[in-house]
Amino acid sequence: MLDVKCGKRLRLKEGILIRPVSEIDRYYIFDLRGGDHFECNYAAYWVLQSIGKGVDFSELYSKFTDRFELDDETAERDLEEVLRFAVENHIIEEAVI
Amino acid sequence: MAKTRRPTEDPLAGDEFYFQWHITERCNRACKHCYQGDRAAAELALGDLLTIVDRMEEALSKWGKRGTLSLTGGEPFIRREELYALMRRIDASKYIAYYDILTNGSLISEDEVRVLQEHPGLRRVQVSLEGATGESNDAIRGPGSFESTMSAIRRLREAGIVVSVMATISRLNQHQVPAMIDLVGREGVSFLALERLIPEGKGAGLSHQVLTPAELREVYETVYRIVGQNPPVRVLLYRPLFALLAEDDPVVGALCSAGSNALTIMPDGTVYPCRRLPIPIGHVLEDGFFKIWYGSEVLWRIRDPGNLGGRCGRCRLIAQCRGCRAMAYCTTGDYMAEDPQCWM
Repeated sequence: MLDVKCGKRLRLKEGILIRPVSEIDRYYIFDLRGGDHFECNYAAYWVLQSIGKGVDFSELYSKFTDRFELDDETAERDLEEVLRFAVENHIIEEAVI
Repeated sequence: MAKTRRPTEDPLAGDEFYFQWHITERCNRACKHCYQGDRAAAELALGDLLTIVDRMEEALSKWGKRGTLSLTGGEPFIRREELYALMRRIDASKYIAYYDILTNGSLISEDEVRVLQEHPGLRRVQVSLEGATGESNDAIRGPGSFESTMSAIRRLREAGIVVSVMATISRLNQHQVPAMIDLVGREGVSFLALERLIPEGKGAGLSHQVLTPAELREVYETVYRIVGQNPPVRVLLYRPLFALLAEDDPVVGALCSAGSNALTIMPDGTVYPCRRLPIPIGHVLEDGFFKIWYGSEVLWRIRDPGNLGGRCGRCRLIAQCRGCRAMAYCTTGDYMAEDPQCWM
């Protein structure tokens, strides 16, 4: 399990750029320093965009559930999947306040 | 529902990635139409040039692309020793498939030809020519340049080196094109590329020599007709606006490579989307290719055809053409404006 509990703030790692590529109707995550790039769907893009704007985990969870009209179990599973991928691939990190 | 994955290839480019690398802006010619300004940029030392090759390889490796490269100037043979050192380094590259040298040809003696023959990565040498006679060429490129260029072509051809010719088409030489095709074909030149005059740099004073859409159409139609007669040189037709002539012909026309699969590196390490679109989008040593390629808002704006203005934005051939962004920029200040030479 990820160690991302209520009240913890997440942030994008330095050099991470998230943006839609409208010509091909896809969403991408770019690492401007290491050159890695990842494809994501709109929901994952939305999650990472939200993290980029500054949000704590409980707020993210709540907004994610509302935005995509998910039940708690689905929202938690999906969110965990995105966050795990993002942590493992050095896309996000815990913000030190 | 929320999904992420690591794709295997760069989403923004095809199988190849092209670097046009200007290692100097110094030149022994003073061509009227040159896109360079009067003041030559600072130059990087050899160590920095070799670091740039490392950066290219890192990017190509990460993107899974086959690299191609043009080494040019200014006149690249003015930095002969650095040029040869770079060629040796690139010859050994696993990631750069081949390179061309773009030169005015004036400094290519028998000695240079012997050195060039030793480089397996060199695909071809491109020289510039603006007319089929000394009079027409030298009026643009300066006295003696026609003979100098023709001598270089012959020396290179005798040594078995593949030669291409590039001509910049304007009102100064529009009627020379058929004769140039004939001339370079007879000289054993393999390829002829035709670029449009972009009135920038020294060439800014030639804006009145830029072809009107009707004049450009006439030149392109003439070229296309000659190509259909199987001339002795292959005329490269994969340039924006050629698609207007024969939209169903797969070898005619192409999208501009700016923002898609190419970058231009200047002598001081500044990076442009294209040499003819001189908008700095980063510095290769300070920023690196990843930050420039993925982070430049200029490149993102170019990539999205929804940003195209005027007739380019409404064109039914938007998948095949999109015009020349440099010509739009040079004439309107907006690189997403319509191509002012389009005749549709």
